[in-house]
Amino acid sequence: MDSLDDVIADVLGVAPTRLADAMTPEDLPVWDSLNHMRLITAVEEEFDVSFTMSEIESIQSIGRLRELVAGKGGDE
Amino acid sequence: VRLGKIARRFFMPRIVSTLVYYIRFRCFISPRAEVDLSRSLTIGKRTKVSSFCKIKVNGRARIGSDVSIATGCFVGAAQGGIEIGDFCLIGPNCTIVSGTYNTSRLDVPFAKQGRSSKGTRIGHNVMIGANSVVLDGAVIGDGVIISPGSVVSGRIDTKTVVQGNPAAEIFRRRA
Repeated sequence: MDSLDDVIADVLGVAPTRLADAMTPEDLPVWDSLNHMRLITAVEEEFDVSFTMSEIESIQSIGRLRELVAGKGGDE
Repeated sequence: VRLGKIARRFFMPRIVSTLVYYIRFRCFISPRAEVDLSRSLTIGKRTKVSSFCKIKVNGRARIGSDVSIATGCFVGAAQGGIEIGDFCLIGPNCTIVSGTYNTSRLDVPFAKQGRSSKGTRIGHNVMIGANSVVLDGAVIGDGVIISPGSVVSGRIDTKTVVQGNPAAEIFRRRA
């Protein structure tokens, strides 16, 4: 299983080492609404978790995504 | 009949089809759009067809109510027919067709091999992004979002978001 950073890096096309908790869609132009949906789907499939729509909307930073995945028992 | 169709396409002022369709269906066809006058075409109330669209009707075509077809779209209904549900939003420069040329023979030009048509079905409340293409045989479920520039040729499940060529699901919409 890939780590969460690997999945994010793969979907958004950035190096895993660049990813930081504070990183937001504003820091990554490639993180647009469509890639946001691709990211959610990839994370859900990889870690066998499921997000609600309000959780999906609340994911506005890498840190928030990490927090949600950890909270749902997804192994980073 | 063929001559009549040619005459209608070439010599009839566009404003005539705008008025005819408004009176028959209470829909809004731009006078700058080119919509075949045909009994096989039904359009729902309040549907808007913007300028520079072309709707060719050689089979049955049904466009639902409250549909918006943005500028520059081409809708070509062949024998298999086209159905577009209610409340669909179709972005600029989209192409929706329900026919294709046969290509099975190598020794005959495509244009001489005849055409086939399975029909194209688009559900209710579908949003089709700009420059997308919906090919013959496509069956699109209700509530689907098609990302701009996608090419749809198969079955798309309801309430999904699809992207790419061929369009693939990237997300399942949820409450």
